Amino acid sequence: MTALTGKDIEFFGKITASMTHEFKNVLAIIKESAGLMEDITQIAPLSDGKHQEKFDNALKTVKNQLNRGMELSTVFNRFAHAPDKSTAEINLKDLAEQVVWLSERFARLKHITLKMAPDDQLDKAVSITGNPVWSQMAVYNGIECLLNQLPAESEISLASSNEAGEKGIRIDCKNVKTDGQQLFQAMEDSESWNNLKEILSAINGDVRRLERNPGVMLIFA
Amino acid sequence: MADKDNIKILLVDDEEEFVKTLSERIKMRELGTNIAHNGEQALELVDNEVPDVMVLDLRMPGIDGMEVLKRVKKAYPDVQVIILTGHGSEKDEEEARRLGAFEYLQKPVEVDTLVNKIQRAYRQKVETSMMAGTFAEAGEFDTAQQILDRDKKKKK
Repeated sequence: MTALTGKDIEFFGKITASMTHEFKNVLAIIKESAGLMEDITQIAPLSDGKHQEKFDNALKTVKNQLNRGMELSTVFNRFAHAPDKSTAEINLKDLAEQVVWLSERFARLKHITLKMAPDDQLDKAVSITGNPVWSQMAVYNGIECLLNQLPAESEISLASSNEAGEKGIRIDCKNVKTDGQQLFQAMEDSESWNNLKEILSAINGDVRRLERNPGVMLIFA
Repeated sequence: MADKDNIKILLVDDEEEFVKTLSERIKMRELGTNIAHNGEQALELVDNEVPDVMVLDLRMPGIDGMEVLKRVKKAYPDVQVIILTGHGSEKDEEEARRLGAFEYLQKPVEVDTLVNKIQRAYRQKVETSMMAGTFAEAGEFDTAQQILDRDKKKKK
């Protein structure tokens, strides 16, 4: 693993956070301009109905992409601010959601679905006190370990969990074409497993195989 | 409901394209706006014509939004300030609220949400002014003008 000092991370965080703020400003201007176009055509619609429909569709696309851009920029901004504090209270659902957003593209490239578990299957309130950067790294590495083993068309879902005194993030896998024991063994034999173990060890965490389903439990406290 | 035409709104943001377009959209909702592109300009405009509601960005070159908020709330406590920022952190929000910001919003915001907040801020301003007037008449505390006059005397 590349050794990063606190200064490196602080530098990357500061610059990235500043740039995400600038992205937000750009998006805000586009959003207001698109909104103004919408306001105007609501007052004075285009005379040709077909053109109006095309205009509305184009505007809808712009707005949808703006929303996507805003969500990405918000997540990226939160990521950039993670080094602000070396210790903070971390809500595990928020942590899982954040890393799902950040890792979604990696999963998509492998044709694997990465998502959060439904709200009724997770604990929204469970929190830990820890290092925000390392916690995100731990979850990301857990996901990466699985992405390296799972076949295309499989599915990974994350859920914050607080059961039997274990606070952590459960990562369930579906359509894996193998059983949980085999999947876990393959993960343990992989290079990325060492990264995961090293990161978890640094934050006094651990990882274990899920008992019923293929997948792993990342334990934070 | 506040009389829309009578609300004096000041929009303060160094992103000229943003504030110009936002102003157009607010005007289309029958509210008048003034614009300032930096903190110095905002303070000058406030001194010339005290707004009812100010929509204020935080990060601006020169006098930043937090300083503008502090000075405006000190000189004109009735002015309701809505922070609208793309740069805000939780710490900024805490500080802005401590300094008396009416609302703290992240960019971009739906224009109708902003207009709604402006109207609520205006109602709050009217209520606060009425209460301050009543108490001041009874000699219980100073009006904004009295605070300003006292500050000016102190400076002399």
